[in-house]
Amino acid sequence: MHFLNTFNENLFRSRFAVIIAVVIILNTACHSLTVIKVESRNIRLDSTLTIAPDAKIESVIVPYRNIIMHEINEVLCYAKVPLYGGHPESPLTNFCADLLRIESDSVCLKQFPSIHIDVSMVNRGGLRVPIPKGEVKVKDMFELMPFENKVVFLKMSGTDLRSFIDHMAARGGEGVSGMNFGIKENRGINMLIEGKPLDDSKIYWLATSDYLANGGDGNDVLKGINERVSSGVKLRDMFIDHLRKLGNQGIVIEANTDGRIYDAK
Amino acid sequence: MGGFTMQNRREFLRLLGAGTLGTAALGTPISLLAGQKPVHITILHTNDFHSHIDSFSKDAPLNPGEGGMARRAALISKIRSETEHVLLFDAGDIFQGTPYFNYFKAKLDFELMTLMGYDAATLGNHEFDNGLEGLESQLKFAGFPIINSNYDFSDTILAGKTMPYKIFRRGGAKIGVYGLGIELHGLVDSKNYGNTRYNDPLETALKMEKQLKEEHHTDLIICLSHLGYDYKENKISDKVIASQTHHTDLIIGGHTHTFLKKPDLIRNKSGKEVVVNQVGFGGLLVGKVDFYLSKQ
Repeated sequence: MHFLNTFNENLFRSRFAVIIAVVIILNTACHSLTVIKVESRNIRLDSTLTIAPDAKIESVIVPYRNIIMHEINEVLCYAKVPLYGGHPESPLTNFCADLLRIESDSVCLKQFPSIHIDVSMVNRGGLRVPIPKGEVKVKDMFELMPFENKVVFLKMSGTDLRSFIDHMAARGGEGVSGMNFGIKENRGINMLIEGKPLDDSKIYWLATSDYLANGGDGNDVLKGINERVSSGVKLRDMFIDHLRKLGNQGIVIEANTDGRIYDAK
Repeated sequence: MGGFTMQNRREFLRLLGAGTLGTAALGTPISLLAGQKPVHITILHTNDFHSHIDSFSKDAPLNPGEGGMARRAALISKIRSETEHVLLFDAGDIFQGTPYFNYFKAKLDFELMTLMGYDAATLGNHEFDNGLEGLESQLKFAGFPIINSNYDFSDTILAGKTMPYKIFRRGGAKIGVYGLGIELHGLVDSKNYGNTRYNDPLETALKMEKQLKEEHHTDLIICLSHLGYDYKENKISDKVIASQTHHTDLIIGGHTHTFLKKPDLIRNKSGKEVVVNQVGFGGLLVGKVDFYLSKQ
């Protein structure tokens, strides 16, 4: 008897639960909600926002910060002015492309003596922040080039290089070194390589990143280049080493534009 | 266990009455039943914060001293203390941008986001910077789901490790969230995304919102997108998704690092307004969208 009672009670309870569940579902389905008002604002975490950092979050960050602080705060060299990016050319894109061409050529001199780097290219979009005025630290190089891209050298025919220049012209200019050209109706004109007119039958070596050589950032035109030499050097490391050398030699970075890419209206 | 007898039916009807009262008394929000006070849902969001754990340096050429995860956390806590139903999302590109990522990968970003109570994030293209392994190995630090609906990872090590959508319940409202990622070909080194298949974002969005609306009866549908806000060329973007969908209420965008002064309102395929928002990059801002929902 006792057993039966419990059984019935359990049955009753489970039915009751099912029914309540059904009722809740019905309620929810019948009473679906509609948006009646939307408010929105984007809150800037700048000096106008008076809010102290969260102490718990800060305490989690501290040990990590201490580890990297030491390494990334090394001052590499100094810049006279901030170097901003832009197009068709800019102090930042010119500086970075020049650095890439010069350092790549010296890598080749040591490791691949048969190669001379004629030209180089860095994409504007790959240079993420300006180079600051004053102390230039390892940290700034991480922010300038956060990516782990490596330097590669591509062997290009003059014809390949011409279509690559047309491509860069159509994009309004990129960071280049060793070449000059005008942009007219989205194409390159008056193309000069190391001061001489581009020769379609000549072979040129381009230094760039593996990311761009693989067609990254819309550079499908580079993807078809078959002959590639990998330097094994990270782009950022190349920059850090170069800047440290400038610092040791007491050379201060300046902002230079020289008309290497221009709008030919 | 017999059939549904007359006596059972009477009991059912009696219980139905009791059940209705029961649910009302047992704390189903009164607003659901009475339709009086609207349900207020606050959506907070970030995008493209690119490992900007610390605020921008005091001598940075742009945005000196701004941003920072500890201040973001404090702001989010403050909002949570003022409003009951908060959802916190990120629209991708958490990875890459400061030495924190180069030295510690996404460990610290994900751990801090977990402490801050992020409810979900979607994938940006930079989440593939260290390859599929480099993404998979970091997921254990994220105490929140990664939602993406248009990358097919079934032939990769990420299979089953992301979600196509998720439904959140806040204040009696059902909020459906899906995620859209940008085409990786041409943007990410192909070796870094391996066998990931990319499905059309608009087709995916239409499928997801239909499913969330019709099968799951969600009250609010949110798209976490890393497609980009708008393009001059003919390319899929948040604006296109907003204008071509029917049920999506909010698109939280990323990728183009667009600083919208205030969220954009775009008319969708059914003539309804969709909110499209994006808050620049680097954790400089937090987006806040407040929805008030009511029984109609």
